[in-house]
Amino acid sequence: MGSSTLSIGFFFAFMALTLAITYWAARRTRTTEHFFAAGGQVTPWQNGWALAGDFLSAAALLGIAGIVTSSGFDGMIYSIGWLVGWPIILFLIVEPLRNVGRFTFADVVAYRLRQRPVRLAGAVGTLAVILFYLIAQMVATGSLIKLLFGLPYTWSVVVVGSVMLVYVLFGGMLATTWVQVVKAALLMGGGILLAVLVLTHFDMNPLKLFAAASEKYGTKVLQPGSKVVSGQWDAISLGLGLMFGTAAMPHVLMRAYTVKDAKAARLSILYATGLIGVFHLMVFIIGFGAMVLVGADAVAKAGGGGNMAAPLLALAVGGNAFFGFICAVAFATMLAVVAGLTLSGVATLCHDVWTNVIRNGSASEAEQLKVARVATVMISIFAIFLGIAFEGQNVAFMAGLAFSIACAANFPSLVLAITWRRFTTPAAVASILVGTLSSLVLIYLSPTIQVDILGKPPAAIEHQWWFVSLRNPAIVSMPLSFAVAILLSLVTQEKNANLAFDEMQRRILLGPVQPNTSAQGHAKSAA
Amino acid sequence: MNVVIPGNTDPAPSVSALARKRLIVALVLSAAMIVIYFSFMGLFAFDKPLLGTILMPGLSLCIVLGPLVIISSFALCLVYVLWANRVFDAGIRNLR
Repeated sequence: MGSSTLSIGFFFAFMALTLAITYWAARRTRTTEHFFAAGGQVTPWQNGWALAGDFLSAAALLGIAGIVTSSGFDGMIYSIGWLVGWPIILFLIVEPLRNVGRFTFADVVAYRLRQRPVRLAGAVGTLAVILFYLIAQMVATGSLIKLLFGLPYTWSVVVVGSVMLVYVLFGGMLATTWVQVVKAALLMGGGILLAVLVLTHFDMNPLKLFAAASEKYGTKVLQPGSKVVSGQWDAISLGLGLMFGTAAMPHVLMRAYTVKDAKAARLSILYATGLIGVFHLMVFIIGFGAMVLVGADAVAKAGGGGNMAAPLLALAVGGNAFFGFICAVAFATMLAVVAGLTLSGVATLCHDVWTNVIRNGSASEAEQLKVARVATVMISIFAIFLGIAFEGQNVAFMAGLAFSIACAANFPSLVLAITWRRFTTPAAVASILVGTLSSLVLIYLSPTIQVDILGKPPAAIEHQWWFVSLRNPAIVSMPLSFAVAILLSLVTQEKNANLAFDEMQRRILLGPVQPNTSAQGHAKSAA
Repeated sequence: MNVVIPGNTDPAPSVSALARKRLIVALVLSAAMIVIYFSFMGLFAFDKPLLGTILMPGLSLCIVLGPLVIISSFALCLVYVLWANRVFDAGIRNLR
């Protein structure tokens, strides 16, 4: 197939470019500051693009376009949910994070509190999010590459895992940043071009496109349905998970440290929000374009659960070359996301667990870099292994679970640590653990696992005492995590944490006093 | 155990005043975002027929409101950044 050769050509061009970047970045990656934060040298515009590249997964293009093609408007529920968390990051989180922390979000939660328990709990929350999101990404990647390029599943997973390993291992954050920037530029360019090509068929008027869709499939495609999100409270719960989960995704938050100061961090979130918003509006057009120009049945027949909507549309409006280009863009997208996820997992293992818990804050630079590289290899092998192990499994719920855990475990402790003087160590630890565990337990007892995965008939479990009808746990687990944090803070006293609040407020506004001051708050860690 | 407050041992009233000001702006804008988003999701969850009102051929209420939520997210970000760049950063310069 000619298009396959073309897409492989595009794919090799992307690989050559990103590996050259990695080679260039490797020579500039000498310290942990470089490895985890690109030396704080990334500009706000670069970081805005990199944030978009970090966050927009293949699901954002292929997945949402597919849902829109099959279910119309409902696909937009995900687009909107993935965007509305960004303002929350900007208003509440990013500036304190940049000024107080160094590499991970646990830096900020642990700042006033006892280092070891809080960092360990933070690592549990972060690694749970990364583990589930990484599995979801790897499995989706394997099956999509199989679909797009015809490469066998196992090889697809091995290729993606190995390339990601090379980026992160040698190029650290600097290479990862540029891979994400290049990917975001390709994704935005490809998405806008595709949407514009669709609109040329409709006098550049989206309303004519929507009208054509409703003529072909009925007005229901312009109306909210209940196929994509079932249940009233489930919709609210999904919204909570998407909004506050996005605001506490560790790989997104980590990018706050790559710019030089809080103002640059603030600007980069603004740019990222604009880019992601524009992209989601384009995907909406693309989904409807595929519905009208390709046809919902043809997309469904192509397999991959609707994921072929965007590539098939590219074939229809732009021919083989454009099809190959969109396939290669989808591939680049997956690589950039898994690289960002892996790097934030490495930061947690190395900076939180090894340096601050095991070595009590006193590991040499050389040792930390070595640990970081070992952790990179471990996570990559783990990701490849899990990707292969979960072949053919329905892992779509794992992405939702990752957002739910981020929302229930990471978000409450982060916000309370920044804003509430009385917040204490037991409260932080319990809130993170309760958020993680309650999300896991609730999803296990819900139809998501019991019916979809274990295959039990709904009628048999509906009346069990343990049955949870919500598919999205956030509406229970997030308030529970907040409640635990507030109650425990009120019944425990932590004088040092209370006293350090003023100093932290000062630092949130003014930044670290000396540029090279360690962010770990050693003065307090001995408590 | 002592907490080191570099350069200045009192909690600096101007620091806490500015911190409070920033927190209020941040909370008001966050509340605005939350109200906008969950009004939309509330309609999606509890009043689908209203959200599905067809305004004209090719246009339903949800297709107007959905993109509006996206645009308002960016608009709120812009409001915050303009405020922070002008008012808040000036306040910080005065503190230094």
